[in-house]
Amino acid sequence: MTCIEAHGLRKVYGKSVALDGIDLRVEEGRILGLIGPNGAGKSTALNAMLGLTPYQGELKVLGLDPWTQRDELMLDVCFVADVAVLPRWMKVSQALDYVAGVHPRFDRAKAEGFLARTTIKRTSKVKELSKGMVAQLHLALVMAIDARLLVLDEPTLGLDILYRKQFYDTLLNEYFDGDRTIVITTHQVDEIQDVLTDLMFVNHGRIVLSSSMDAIESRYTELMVKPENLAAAREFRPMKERQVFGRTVMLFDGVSRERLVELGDVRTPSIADLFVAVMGETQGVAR
Amino acid sequence: MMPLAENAGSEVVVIKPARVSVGVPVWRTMLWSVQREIWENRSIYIAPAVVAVVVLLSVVYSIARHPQALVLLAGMDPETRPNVMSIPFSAAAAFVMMTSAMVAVFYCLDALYGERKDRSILFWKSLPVSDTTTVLAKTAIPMVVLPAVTFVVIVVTHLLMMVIGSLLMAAHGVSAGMLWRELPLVKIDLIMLYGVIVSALWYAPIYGWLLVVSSWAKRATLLWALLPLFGICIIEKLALGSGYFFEMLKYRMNGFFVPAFGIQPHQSGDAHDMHSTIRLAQLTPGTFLATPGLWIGLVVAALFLAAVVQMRRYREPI
Repeated sequence: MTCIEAHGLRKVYGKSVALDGIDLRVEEGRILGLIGPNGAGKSTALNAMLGLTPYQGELKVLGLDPWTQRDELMLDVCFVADVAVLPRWMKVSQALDYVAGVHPRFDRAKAEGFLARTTIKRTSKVKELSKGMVAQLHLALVMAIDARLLVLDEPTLGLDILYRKQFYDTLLNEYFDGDRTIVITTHQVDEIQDVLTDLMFVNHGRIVLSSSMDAIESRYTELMVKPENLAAAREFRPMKERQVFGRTVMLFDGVSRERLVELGDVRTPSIADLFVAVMGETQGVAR
Repeated sequence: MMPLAENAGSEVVVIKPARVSVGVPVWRTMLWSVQREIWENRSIYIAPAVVAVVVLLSVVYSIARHPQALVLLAGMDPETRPNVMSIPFSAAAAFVMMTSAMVAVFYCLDALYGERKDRSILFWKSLPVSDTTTVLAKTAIPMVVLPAVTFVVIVVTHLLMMVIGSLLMAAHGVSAGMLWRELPLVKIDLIMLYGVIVSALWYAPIYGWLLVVSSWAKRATLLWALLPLFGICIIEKLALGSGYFFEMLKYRMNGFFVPAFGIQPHQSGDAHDMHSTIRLAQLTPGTFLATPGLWIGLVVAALFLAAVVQMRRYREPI
């Protein structure tokens, strides 16, 4: 079943175009990474999907119109908009009580289980917790909700690497069950490389690249060129060239690995390198 | 024949039943939403309670300073004595009510502004609680919770005043019997209950207006709540030379005294007039309910609340 489907999704703030007619389709059971520079339109797209902002064009989330059927949609959708939004006055125990009180799909025991692994005290107020603890609390609440779609907008912003690693491990091993759909935006792109099933690059309100991770592995190749093969490698028209420790690393789009492997060491590029290369290309087009 | 027709009458086989999510009952999300408002705004019960304690202490202090007043009271005409004795009880209730009114005003101004300012609105909106439920829960604070808290605090304060008064009377050799025998405490508190309900209904459009400002203003909610009202008064005075809007505001502030209690506002607080405030027969709920001002106010309040729901639902949250 399709989880998210958009046709010509468009959003304009005054004169600036935040979303410039996006078409996308996310099947259920996928983990999609929405990657783009600041102001690319990621958050606007997520807000549209969550019924937080009006838009032009067609958009269906779990078969519902998020703007007009938001109340219904929120029974099956959960989101973390930003780590800092838990109310500061709230006690941890109150947060558990409240979510258990209003959400039909909240599993309190599960949330308690996540919290038991942290040093968060039930009697603490949110304002007394460190930034990392607030994020842990929020994620514990959210991951204990049996939602069909979970939207995470910069869920690990401001967290140190230990927390981030732990969070993605928990998300994959204990939350994701193959039926749920997860949409993540983050700037720490390399950390989610192994988490994602699908990748989408967004820039200037447009989708620049949309692909499954499997397809990316077969389409893009990174080659660390042996110095003597530089000219031969350039024949295949790399997207991007960069120098690493005096050696040249090239990124190829749609060139088979068998042909490149003779010219040096090949591997799948990191999302970050791919991002830089693809964004560089689109910038070039823009100019 | 169409293939569909062949299936007519046979059971439709559902391979994977569609998941139907049913929310918790609205009354439950409503109660939890009210609960969380009380968690957040502890001044709802702390402020009236603190004022009650201050009132009690000042009663003790003033009797301790002027113990001869008790002797004077004992020698008073039993006809007028209940009225004199009721004065501190009415005054205590008035202080608690004024405090609650102030709490209500500041609560309403912050109710929808605070959650946008600290961005917690994004957390609330990530849960399946509709904007209508949230706004009604917030409205229930000045309309239901604060009146109930006010009444309970007044009753408790009155009982404590009776106990403390009796002890002080005994300590100064005055019989406390007259306090318990002559003071119509049940009547006084029934009148307080009536007053608390009547004023909540009468002030509904004021709370509605404050909630509108709270959900609309980007900053300085108090200024936005007051300046437009002053502005309209001034413009009306300058342009038309009239003061209808000001009269309307004044009517909204104290217009319920006449229909609800059958008395004029701003009456002097001497013992004779106090007499009228402790007679149940003086309450005129029928007249109050028949006052167009009440119903106009409630309709205006409903319109304001509808606007608040729309704003919380359809405006970008931050």
